[in-house]
Amino acid sequence: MIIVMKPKCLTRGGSIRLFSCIFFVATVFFSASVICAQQVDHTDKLKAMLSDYQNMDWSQYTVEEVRQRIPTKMQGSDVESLLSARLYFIGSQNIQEMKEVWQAQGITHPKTIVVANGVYSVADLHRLINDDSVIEQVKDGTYLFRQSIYVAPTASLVIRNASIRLSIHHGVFLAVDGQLFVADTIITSWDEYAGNEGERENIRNNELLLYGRQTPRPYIIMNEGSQIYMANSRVTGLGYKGQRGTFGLSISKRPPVVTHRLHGYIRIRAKPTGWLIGNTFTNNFFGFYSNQADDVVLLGNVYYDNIIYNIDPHDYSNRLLIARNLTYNAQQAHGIIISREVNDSIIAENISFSNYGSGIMLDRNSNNTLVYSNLTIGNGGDGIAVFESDYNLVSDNITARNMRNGIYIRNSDHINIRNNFIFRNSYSGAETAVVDIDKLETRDFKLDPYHKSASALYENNQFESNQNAAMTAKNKGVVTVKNNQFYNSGPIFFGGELAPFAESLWRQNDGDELTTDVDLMIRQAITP
Amino acid sequence: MRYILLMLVLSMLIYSSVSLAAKVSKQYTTEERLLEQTKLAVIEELAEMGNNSAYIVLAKMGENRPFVTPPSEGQLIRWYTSSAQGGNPHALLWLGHYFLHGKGSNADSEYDALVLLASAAILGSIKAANDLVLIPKVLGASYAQLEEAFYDAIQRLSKGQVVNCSRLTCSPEVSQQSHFASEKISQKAEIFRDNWAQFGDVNAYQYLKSLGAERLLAQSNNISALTENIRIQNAGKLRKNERLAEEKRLAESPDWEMQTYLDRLSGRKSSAQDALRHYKDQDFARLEKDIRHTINLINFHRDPDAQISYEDVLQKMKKAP
Repeated sequence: MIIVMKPKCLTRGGSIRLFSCIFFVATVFFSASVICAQQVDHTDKLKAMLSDYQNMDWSQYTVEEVRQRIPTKMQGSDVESLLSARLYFIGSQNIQEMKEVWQAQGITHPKTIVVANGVYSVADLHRLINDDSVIEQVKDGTYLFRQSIYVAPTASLVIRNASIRLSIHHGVFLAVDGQLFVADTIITSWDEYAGNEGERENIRNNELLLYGRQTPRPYIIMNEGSQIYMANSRVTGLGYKGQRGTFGLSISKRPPVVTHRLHGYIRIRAKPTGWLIGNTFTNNFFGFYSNQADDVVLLGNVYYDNIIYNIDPHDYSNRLLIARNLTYNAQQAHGIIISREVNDSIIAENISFSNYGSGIMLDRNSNNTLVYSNLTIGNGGDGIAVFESDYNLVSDNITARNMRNGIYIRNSDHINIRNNFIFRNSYSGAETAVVDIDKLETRDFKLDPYHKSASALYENNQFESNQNAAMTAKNKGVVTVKNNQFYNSGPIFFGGELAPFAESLWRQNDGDELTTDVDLMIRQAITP
Repeated sequence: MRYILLMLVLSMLIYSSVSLAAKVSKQYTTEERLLEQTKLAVIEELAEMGNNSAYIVLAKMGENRPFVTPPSEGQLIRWYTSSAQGGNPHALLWLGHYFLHGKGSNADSEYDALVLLASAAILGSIKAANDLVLIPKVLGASYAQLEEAFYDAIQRLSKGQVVNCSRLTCSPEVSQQSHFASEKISQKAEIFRDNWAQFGDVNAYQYLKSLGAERLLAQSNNISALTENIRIQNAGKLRKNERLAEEKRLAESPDWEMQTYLDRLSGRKSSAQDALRHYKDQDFARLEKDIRHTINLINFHRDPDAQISYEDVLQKMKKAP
């Protein structure tokens, strides 16, 4: 609602007053037009994303296609074991953290296998290193690595039809600045004494995300400028809570640094990317993690029993395609979460169920996301949660039997929720709320600012048998309803702050004009 | 009244923008500015007097500290070049990487950059030696070129010349005063050559690998920064843990108000779970078509031997919550 006022100054004399008034009115109109233009822009973008997704050529994203991309001609001989201390530019923190393991094992001069200038298979590495105490061929196609591996920007590593064991006791990790191709392979952490992937330490749940509490385990980190193509493989037992990209399989870029050393070249390389198609990730600290990665494709993967999240693209990753994955039993948190300005991404046609937290979550200013045609069922939190993230489209999803709300919008504006089936959730079908999180200890509000407003348009959704209410709003959450269907909902259809306006909401939903004073008290959301 | 209000808002806006602008431009108090300028003048004077170390101090200050007037890139290069002329390995390392980055007028001169880095390594920079080991691997420079650059550097240093003045703008004052320095430089080059000869019949790359390994390890074994990082990183989460512990304590011995709240929560949860259990078969029968459809979509992207079955997924779904 725009209030048009006629300033008295317009009726009085004086050019300064007149100028001030013109300035004021112009500012108001300018701001309004900028906001409108922004909304149109977001709407068009989301519509285009939906249309592109619906018309996508899926045949380009199959296991076979990834296999076709893998180089078949191996070449090069620049593989050697160098002191890990030399590789200061791959992440000094990563090396520092691993020292705990190396020191415990009495490894005073830890070394890393540096792979450069060529395309190599694992058999090539084994042949060129030619030292069983570094790479041991346990049986045909099964290799145990006792030193970390670094793939330089000038090299590609191909792991195919193999089983790779990364020794826990030797503090092994795989860091890649070049290209990594993995197909039909098992990559696992390895406890040489127990002869298995190694049990995780018993750490209290509320300390799992504390830094420095866990003994480092093997992990894979894809750095700046790297690319990963992985298909039909299984990754298990990797990752721990470290400072950077130590969570399992991570695709991560660091901010550029102005330095006249090798950091300088590495850090200015492009954002890393990759395709992960038809793989299985289990018992990793995170199933997937990214930081500033672009255009990553996660398709047809199964993620289950990972410790914190199943899929967690983070920090300024853009244009991700997270589609057709099965994620379940994330042990401590959510099935799929995108967090901190992960923009212009698609989360579609996934099944996310039985996760400890929410099925799908958009968090910390993750805007312009299309959440389309997913099934979120039986999660411990909400089915779909949108936290502090604006301009998102949640369309054609089924969110059922979740322990909290079917859809939860918190401190997020311009959320369009349409054509969803919201069914038998334990709280409300949909909640739109403003929550004061100023006192949240773990959040840096300079990094993750938020606004205390929430608005959503609910259009053509079907709400059924939700246990508390079909729809609710708290602390001035703004709701607009249009053409939704409501069946058999809890004690009331509209709960929380919506309860007094139930009659007007029914009328708004049916497309009647709102005329009475009570009607007009329903705040109108600006639809995306 | 409205007019006064309007003017008040406008003046507040103008005041805040002006004060913000002032804040941005004001980095130094008058005393601080004077002190910075004095320091700069003293070091510049020392540099002009031929003190080679003064140039590297100037360059490092210019690069890392906000000067009152930050030096231009050209000025930085002049300072580093002057320092390099006197045989400072840190300056040579900087210049080598600067040109290797493809900056400046010598943008294509990878070879010149390698010679500068090799000179730095010969004159004692462990960092330069380490970087030379890695540059062929990380940037793809050829090992043959590295070898050649190394011989070139030794030859040049043996003659007491550090910088190729036809490629870089050398400082004439430093060149004139460099007799003593050039002798020292050629001595260092000779020592390096002797040590290399004693090491056996190895090429430059292999000899470089042997340099400074212990010192590199010692540098990287400093873990004080890590400990501090752990403390900072965990501070927020520990506070949260304290709050959770307090909540847990209250939950174990609650007052009546908290007890009522907890009872209500657990009552709500158990009744919700009852309902979910009660309707389980009915609900999943209803969702079957959609679950099957999505599983088929997922399976399209999976290997024929790794297909997911509806029955398996359903069984897992029914377990929770």
